[in-house]
Amino acid sequence: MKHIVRKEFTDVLRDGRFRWCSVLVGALLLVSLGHGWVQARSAQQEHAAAQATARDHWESQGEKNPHSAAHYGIYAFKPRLALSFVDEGVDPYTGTSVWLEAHRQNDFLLRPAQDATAAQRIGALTAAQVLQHLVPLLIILLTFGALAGERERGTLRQLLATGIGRRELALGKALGIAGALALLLVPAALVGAAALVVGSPGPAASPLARGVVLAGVYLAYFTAFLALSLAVSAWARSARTALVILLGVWVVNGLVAPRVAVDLSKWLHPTPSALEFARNVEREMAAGVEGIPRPDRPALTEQLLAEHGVERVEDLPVNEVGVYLQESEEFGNRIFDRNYGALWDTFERQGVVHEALAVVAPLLAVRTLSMGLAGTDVEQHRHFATAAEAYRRDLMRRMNGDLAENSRTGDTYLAGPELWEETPPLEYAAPTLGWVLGNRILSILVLGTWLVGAVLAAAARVRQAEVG
Amino acid sequence: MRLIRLELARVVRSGGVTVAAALLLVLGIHAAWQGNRRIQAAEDAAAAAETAYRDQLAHLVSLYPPATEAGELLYYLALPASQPTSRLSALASGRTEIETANLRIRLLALEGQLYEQETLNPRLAAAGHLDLTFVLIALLPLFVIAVTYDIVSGERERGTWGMARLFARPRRLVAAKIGARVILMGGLVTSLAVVGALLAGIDGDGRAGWAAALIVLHTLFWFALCLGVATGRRSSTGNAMILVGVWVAFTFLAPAVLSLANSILHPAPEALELTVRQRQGYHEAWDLTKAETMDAFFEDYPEWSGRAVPEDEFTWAWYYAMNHRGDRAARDASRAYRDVLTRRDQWARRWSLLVPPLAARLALDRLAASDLASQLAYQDAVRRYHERLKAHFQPVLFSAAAIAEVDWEQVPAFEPAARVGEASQAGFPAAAALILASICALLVGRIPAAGAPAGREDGAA
Repeated sequence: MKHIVRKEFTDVLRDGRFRWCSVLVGALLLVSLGHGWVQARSAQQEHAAAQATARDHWESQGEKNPHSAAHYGIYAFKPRLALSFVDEGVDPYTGTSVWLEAHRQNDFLLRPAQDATAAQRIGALTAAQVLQHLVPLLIILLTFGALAGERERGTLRQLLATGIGRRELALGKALGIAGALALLLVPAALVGAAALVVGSPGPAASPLARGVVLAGVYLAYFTAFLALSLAVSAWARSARTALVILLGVWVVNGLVAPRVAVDLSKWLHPTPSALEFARNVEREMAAGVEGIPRPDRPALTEQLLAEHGVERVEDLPVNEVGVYLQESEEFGNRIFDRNYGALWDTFERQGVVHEALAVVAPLLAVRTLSMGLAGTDVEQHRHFATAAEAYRRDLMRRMNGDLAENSRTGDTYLAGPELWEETPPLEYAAPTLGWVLGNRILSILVLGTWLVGAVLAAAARVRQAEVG
Repeated sequence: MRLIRLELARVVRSGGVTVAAALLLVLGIHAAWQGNRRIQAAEDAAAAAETAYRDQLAHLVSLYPPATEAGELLYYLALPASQPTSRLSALASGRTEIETANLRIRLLALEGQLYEQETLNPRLAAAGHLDLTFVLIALLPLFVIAVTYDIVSGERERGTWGMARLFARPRRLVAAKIGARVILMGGLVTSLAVVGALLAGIDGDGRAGWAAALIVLHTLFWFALCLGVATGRRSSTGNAMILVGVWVAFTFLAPAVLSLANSILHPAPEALELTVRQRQGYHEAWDLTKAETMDAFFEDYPEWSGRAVPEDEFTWAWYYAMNHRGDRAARDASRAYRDVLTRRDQWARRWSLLVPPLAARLALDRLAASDLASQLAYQDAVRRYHERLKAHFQPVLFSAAAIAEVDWEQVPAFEPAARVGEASQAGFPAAAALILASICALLVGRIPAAGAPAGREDGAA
């Protein structure tokens, strides 16, 4: 069997066409890794600088009414996780910064997809794209003739006549091809690991562990593809048929299924348009929600006066404005939670449709896992958005509380730099690897099933393969 | 003609072709239907924006005592600025899925309001979408390749080429084979085009004609390419691999490399700066004297200079001048950002001519007004609208007029952006690139003679 492995390996390396294809894919992989890393790093530095500027603006805003400061607000930047240079995931479509201010939960700004020409939407050159699309194509091109070609040339019979078993033959070929691929992928993985170690562009959220699992996911994907290609090569009447079938599989897996999944998930779980969404929020803001009406200033005043047993607002021990602002803020938060919560939930349900459709196209499972491990999926975006919103609410509570406690109704009250400085900056802890994988059990199961199924199919087909 | 008929029958009889054609047809019809739904949704959204405006106006007018200053009502009033959707965007949805063409504009600082997007799940946006352009420009070529790659090599490998050669000259034989496949594909494309036109309707301005021409030329380009490769002396598998390689290069690699180069050549970090500057410009004004804010305002609107506002009290004229100060602070960054995007668009358009399928795709987006330039034109139209609203309400603000004194029926309406460029301007370069590339591909091809050897054995490893 060793001979078969070696022969297959040298055959692949000797064939000029494959050499060119592999060099091309390898070069694309390295370029995309390098570019992704440089970009992630510069984005991280840009954000760090902008974050520092924003904090500086916040601290040096001088004497101001706390509510003005609340309106002034502050930027929060979603940190880039270390592995985001491998897979940018949904980042181009979500933006990575959000403005936190009084009275409203803002959408994320800075969505690079907005700057992109149509050409950029067709395909960004990321390592994930190369790994998800081009490497499987290379595997197909290396494997489709492995058995069908030998049979066509009549050499399969000769090989088997030497006494070698079918299984050894197939395994030998698979290992030979895998060895050739390893020449391409191992250096890329090493470069990726080196980039992680040397200067991870983002904060550490177990980057190496994430990287190892990510490598495992892609290894499983490639192995499944190799086994599937071998199965088809054993089964097909000619190398030509095997190639056409495998290319069909590749097209459905990589191009058709993901787009059908988009339409299907939109159809099963529709989302409101931007306008409808905004209108709903406005309507609930005006009319109240869940039986809770919009805070009514005169009623609140009455209540406060009764509570403190005084006649005039000037005699209240708190600033009525601060109390009212906080009430409004909490009323608004309830509405944001309802609407944004429902929207995020719908997004996640749409994601589950994608994960389930991985039964037809393993790419969907790989994509889900890859984005998850790179920290660039919708769930981790939500994780950050939730943390940023919690921070905004804390900020508003501080501002309104300061206004209520330290001034009296009717005062012209200005808070000083102490208040700005004692407001802590946003500290965000990215989710752990366990959290990510726990969310992705369905994808792990489906990918595992594909792997096992493809290997079993290859074994079965090789056993039954016609000799010639 | 008899040859073509025979060949047609042969192609249709092979099972794989029927399955692939059916799949393509189903996907195409689905895409056209989705495109139609998108247009419907956009039209509904525009109508809803108009209704929302009417409702809000009525609500605000009834909410405030008539003597309230109009400036207060204007703080809340959001005016619809809806760009009508082109019919062709059902075919080429481009950016329409992520961008909204239904902004609602308040009289406040504009920069922060311009870049709203649709509430699309980012995961779905990242996955790409299945529009008719995708079916016709990305998938159809694969089908062309699948039915054409072995027209000569297949006969040779089966040993039937010599026999076929007895009935007709090779040139005629190959012409008949290609002719049959062109007819088949023509039927497929026509039925998709008819379905698309029936579902979405057609703009009567020649753009649909250009779009149809581009799709036909693009399909013929792939036939020319297949013919060029398939008439060589390679084996069937060799042909298939080369053609798929070219397809991958044209569909994935070249666009990805071009866009990478584009974003490196034209970096656009200003997106973030805009909003920061606008907010900074606005908020700083709280700490300035009112006269300083007004002077900056008068620089841009000299017709109002001299209308002083009181220093010691809040006036709406000053409040909106403060908002203007925000836009003014972001103006340079905003222009720079817009210029970078324009340059990116022009650069992509120019260099895409080297990759004819990409050029066709960009041209289709342009024809459908779903491209970047059209989005920028829409933003410009919104900017103009904002200026017109300002001009309209400035007298109201300076005279501190009450809500009852304003004729709310006379509020200017949004004027949609004009189409970017002529149809021919969008279509012609791409069409020329496709024709030129087709000719080049045809020149590569050679019709083999009868007894030509089967060529070197390629493909199997």
